Amino acid sequence: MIRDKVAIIGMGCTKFGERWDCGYEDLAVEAYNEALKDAGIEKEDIQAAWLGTCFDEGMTGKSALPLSTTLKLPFIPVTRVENFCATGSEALRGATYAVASGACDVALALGVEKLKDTGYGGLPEFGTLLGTKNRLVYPNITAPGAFAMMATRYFDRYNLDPEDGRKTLARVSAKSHHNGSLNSKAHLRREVTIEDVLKAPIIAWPLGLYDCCGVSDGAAAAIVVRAEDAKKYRDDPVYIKALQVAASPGEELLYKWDGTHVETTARAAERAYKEAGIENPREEIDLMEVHDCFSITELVTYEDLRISKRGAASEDAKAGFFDLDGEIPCQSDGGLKCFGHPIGASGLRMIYEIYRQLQGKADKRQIEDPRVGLTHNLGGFPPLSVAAVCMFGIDRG
Amino acid sequence: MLLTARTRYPSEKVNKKGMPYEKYAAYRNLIPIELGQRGEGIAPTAVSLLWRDRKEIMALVGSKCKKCGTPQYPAQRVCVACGSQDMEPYSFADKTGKVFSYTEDHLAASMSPPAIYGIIEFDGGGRFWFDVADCEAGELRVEMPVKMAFRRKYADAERGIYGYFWKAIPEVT
Repeated sequence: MIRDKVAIIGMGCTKFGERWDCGYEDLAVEAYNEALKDAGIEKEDIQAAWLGTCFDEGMTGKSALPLSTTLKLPFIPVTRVENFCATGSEALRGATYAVASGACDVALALGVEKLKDTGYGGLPEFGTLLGTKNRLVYPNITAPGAFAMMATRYFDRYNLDPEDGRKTLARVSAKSHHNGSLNSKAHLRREVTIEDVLKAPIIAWPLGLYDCCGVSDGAAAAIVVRAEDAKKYRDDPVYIKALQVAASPGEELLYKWDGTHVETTARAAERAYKEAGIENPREEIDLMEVHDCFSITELVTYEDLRISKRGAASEDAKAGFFDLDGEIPCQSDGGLKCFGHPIGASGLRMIYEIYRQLQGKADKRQIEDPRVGLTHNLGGFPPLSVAAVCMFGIDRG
Repeated sequence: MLLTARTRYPSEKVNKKGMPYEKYAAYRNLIPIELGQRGEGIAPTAVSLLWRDRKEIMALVGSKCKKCGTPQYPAQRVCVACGSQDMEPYSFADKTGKVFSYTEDHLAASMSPPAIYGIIEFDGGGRFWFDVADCEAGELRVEMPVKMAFRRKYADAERGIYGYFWKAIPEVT
């Protein structure tokens, strides 16, 4: 159990967006500088670092070098991690376990992704990334297509006709766009109405343009120390309550799965609740940042996290339960919907919002006195995925 | 101009709408089409892999667990249901199935967008995602019956290699 053993003492997050004038090095330095300043430490204090990144290799290749050479880290141990969209959360997990074990006292986790140079709308083509066999057997599946299949099945199972189903999903996206309009670090900052969402072109039926998150550049970073040392650095450290990852064994796609939920999320959440000592998540969680790569993902995640009952997420969404002034605000910063999804950075970007909210520093988006926050990442396709569920608190238990 | 489509499942019904000329011309390289950036990244076919997995790819042979009897595609080393490593070959090419879910994907590289693909659940067990052929946008439904057909999957003109694989053919009513 990692609960209350480690605290975050500093975080940084770049503005996300089409950062044409910035390379991945600029993004990494921007997040790193803010985190260092926030923690009140110097480069020499960092004893180990974890880099999370997936696409741009910084001219050095799949290793720690893109980070160590960019920041000129002085020969300290640096590890690169990659686990699809859970990459940023994995970087934090590595750093957290290192300080908890006593192997080092201060560790850095940094996630960065320069996506816009790839030139793609959406994530780069998977075909060449999944290995040589993929193209011989897989359809040309895209991320929206893979998640659209979950929406198709969800609508069918709960007897939503496509128009009703799409309206429910539109509500999810419109809510996040509202929150993003209040956040100067978000990429997409315009309010979008439910009608706008419904009228947008279809990307992968039944998902339209506004059901999909954006494609952006960005970076985020965290500095962690053992909980007992945290108050030496600041008065309001944020304590890590749970860090859980679950990877598909492959049974969902090939064998048994209802097609309307994500098993890895549910498994990681149960372990995270146990680790954090949460019994009734609907009552005990104050805010969440979930992996809204697509509107349908956010909808089923409400159920997978046991916030909503199976099939009841749309009712909760319609009732405003997840709105900024609702009972559990979800995506208070605008989510992937407004930040876009630079893979390596997203997990830490979510944690940045929880960290700022718990410290009462979330500006116009501030929620009243939150004590416990949750982040959720989902990488891969719904039946073949990696999920991370992390929990944070402002109080040390 | 309309061309008659291939035979359709199950009763050799002919698609009365015919095949749009644009689709025929695109597949025959009679007109240039823009596949987009997603269509550019054609990796070389790994011929050694194609030889090693020839039954899996060319004949749609998966595996069936000798211990619990669960059919699975692609062939698994470790049973997805019970964890046993005692597996035997199992053919899916002759199995019928149903559409578990599907999408019409306008983002995916396709000779004739939208790319239509879905998760197919085989009668008797086994499930995987496949391209859906002989079907137009708007025709597919969850639980629609399908059978499998061996069709061209990709054309790697640079290297003169044409890849074939199995696609699901729905019984469109």
